Amino acid sequence: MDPVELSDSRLLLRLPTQADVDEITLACQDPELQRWIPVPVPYAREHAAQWVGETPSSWAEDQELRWVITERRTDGTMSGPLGAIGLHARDATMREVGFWVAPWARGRGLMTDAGRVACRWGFEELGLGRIEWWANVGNNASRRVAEKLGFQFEGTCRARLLHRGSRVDGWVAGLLPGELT
Amino acid sequence: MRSQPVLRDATVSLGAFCDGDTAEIVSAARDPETRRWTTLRLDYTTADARQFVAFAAQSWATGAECVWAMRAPGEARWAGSMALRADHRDPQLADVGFLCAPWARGRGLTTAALRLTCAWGFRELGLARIEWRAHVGNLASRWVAERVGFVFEGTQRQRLVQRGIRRDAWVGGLLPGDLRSVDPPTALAPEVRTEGLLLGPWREQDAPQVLEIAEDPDTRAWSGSMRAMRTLDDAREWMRARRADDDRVDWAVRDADTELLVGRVGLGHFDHQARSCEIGYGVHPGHRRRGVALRAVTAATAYGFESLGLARIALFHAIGNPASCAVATATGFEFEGIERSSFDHGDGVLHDVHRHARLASDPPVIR
Repeated sequence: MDPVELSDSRLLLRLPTQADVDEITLACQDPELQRWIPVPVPYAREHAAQWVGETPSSWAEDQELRWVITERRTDGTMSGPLGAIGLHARDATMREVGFWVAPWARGRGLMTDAGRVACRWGFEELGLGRIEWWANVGNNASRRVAEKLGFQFEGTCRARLLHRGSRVDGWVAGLLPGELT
Repeated sequence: MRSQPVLRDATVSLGAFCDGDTAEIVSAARDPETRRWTTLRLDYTTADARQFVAFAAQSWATGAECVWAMRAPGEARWAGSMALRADHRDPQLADVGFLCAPWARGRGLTTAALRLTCAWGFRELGLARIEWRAHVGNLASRWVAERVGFVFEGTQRQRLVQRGIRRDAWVGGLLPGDLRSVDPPTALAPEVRTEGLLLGPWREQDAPQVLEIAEDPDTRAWSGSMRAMRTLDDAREWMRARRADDDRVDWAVRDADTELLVGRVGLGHFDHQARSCEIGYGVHPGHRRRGVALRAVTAATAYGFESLGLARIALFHAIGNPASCAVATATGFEFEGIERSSFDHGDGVLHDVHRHARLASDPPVIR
């Protein structure tokens, strides 16, 4: 599909550009992020460049609909990328949400707001019947975001996720139309 | 590209489809149970079956899926289909799908076929996890998966699509160490530990206690299924029949410390559309008045609501059985009325019974 930008009063979710590569690279050095998100480790500049570069085809092929999260500053200008969020295709009316937030942007509810914008668009514009959330067992920060959005916890699936070559247990939760809070 | 292996044991043989299978496949696709639980078209035709047979052969060439025809050993007649589908993003992950022809059900074919398929997938494809999903309420599928060793992992809401409609799904996972090499005595009674009791499958050595329950005058008076039991062989046969009944969850209730049989509890008469069933129970005469029925009914009810996703469980008892009425009330089964001439306790007379029921949405019971 054709890429779209999403926004609310505070955030703009837009497509990543090559100008974002340095900040994405820096964010992905964070050990906490590397612990829970299956990004390459060590994370180099070319990994970010590749991720940005494949974004247009990911949209065109209707795979992951992916944005970087930016915030409106008090002077009206926009911040650089503070995180990323994506809706991965799973079936005709189901997608899986995935996200990370840079260490310097945590603790301000940014991820929850971005998740709300993306999920609302998924239900209202894409007509999704279910959005799924998965995380490695123990990723409490991600789970808190999901629960704030209204996701209902549905179980633990053993050895379900592949995390840099290791199999790890996965938490799964689901969000249905009308449940977004 | 991989050539299709033949997998077989004493119960089942898994191999290629042949053109002659199409008539049987069409007939199975039109079976009401197949329609209820699978995604096959309601107007499934011979052309669809031909296309499926061609797809099954081709799936081995492309490596997309591993699809076998199930047959009983030495029989040419198609008895079902078994598929193992690798996840295209995670080569160590696959899911299973299966269908048993109506005429081949109740013979353990699907369980044997699933066990062979999973063992092959771990060995030959290097899988680390195999996933099973079924629409909520598909007990026959769930028992097949649990017999093979799949561990139930939860209900994922609206996870599956059936003919354009999203449906809630049960999910289970099988890791290499979970695979069971032989049929457990039963997988229809998952072990539940509760308040000094252990609920689990019947064991051969339970026969003396089962017979003692059956010989008790109170049981004789109220239990239809145990009334005819006279010998230890009858007791063993009764347990065998219970284990073979796919449409029940039947537990032996034991003392958690001694593991001695103290009673029984079971869920049966499932109505999958209404997400309801009936609960039945009995206590060994030597273990009455110790809250065995209360604890067993509470645990079985919780399993029905939480693990099977039921909305309603009904409890019937004879009008002249105040002990049962007390258990029903104490476990939160509200009295709903009297059904007249409704139940044969095995004496050839239709008795009036009390109907009680508990809903998943009822407030918790305060003891």
